[in-house]
Amino acid sequence: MITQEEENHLLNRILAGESAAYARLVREYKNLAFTIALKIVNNKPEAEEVAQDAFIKAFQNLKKFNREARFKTWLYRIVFNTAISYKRKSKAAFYSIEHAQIPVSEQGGRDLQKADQVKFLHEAMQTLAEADRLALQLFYLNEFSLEEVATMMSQPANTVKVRVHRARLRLADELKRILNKEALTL
Amino acid sequence: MNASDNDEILLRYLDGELSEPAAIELQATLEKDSRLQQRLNELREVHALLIAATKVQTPSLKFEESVMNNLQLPGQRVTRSRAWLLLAGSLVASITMLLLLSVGAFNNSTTILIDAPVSNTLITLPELSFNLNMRMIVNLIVFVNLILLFFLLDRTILKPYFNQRRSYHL
Repeated sequence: MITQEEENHLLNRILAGESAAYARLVREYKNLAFTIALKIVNNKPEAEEVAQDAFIKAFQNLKKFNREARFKTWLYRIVFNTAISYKRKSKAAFYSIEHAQIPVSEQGGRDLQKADQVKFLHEAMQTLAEADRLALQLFYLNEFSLEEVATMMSQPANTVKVRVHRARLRLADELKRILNKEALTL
Repeated sequence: MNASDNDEILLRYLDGELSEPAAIELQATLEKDSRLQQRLNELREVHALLIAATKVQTPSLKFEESVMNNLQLPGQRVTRSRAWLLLAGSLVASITMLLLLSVGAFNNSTTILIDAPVSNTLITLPELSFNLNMRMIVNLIVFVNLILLFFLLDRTILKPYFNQRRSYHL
């Protein structure tokens, strides 16, 4: 974990021409940057490309970063915008659940049931509006406050809060519907 | 209170946003209202599933290296569209040149004879006369250009492309 003080020191070094110092920031934030991109483009190689592009854009525009917010908040906003424009260009709208963190069945039936539930959850997620789904996924990464998610999405915090609440209610209803349907097919 | 208000309160309860007196009041209501309790269970299940399903992922091992390598050339990074344009342009130029060579377009200008005696009232130079094999020169220029083309393709398209593939598979 990098402190704000360390971060500022690193930024000063990078702006002074020591570009190698940027590696520390890349190492620190690459996982979340990649995860955000993945949530939006739904494809690992593309998410990697998007995250790399975002890091390069951030580096090239570092002089414009005014340090009112944390670097990571600014960076993740760049990742978010890069991923959204990438997705619009590529039109790869299909959703893959290959990256879904479905637990491996090591404890028999209980895990299998959990894996099924997670699969149903991803199925239910398809019924959500894209902005609601993204707000929900970013919120549940447990790495960002509601305000940070709002900054990333360039929306007011209240709007994001409404999106997260609405998405959860919709998911609960949709899961109930899917489970009822599954029960009928057994 | 309608169902929508109940849902809102239940979500705030799950997020730990209710004040202590409000939470105690809700717990008392839940004990009496089985439908409300069922709804809370449904929302709790979604909450737990979302936590289980939303994990931070890791990119390939070469991610950091790829970013840092591309930082060395800010603004000069070859994008996919630029790479395709470059590739198409290079191929069209080389194929055109090879076609022109194969049909003998430069055969008529094989030799240039420079025979220009320079003399005037002030100065007199010896006669200047030599042959230029233009066909050989054109072939040489084409050969050098093809080498440059392959070098350019390798540096701007092939190398970055295979580096990216390698970094992803690692």
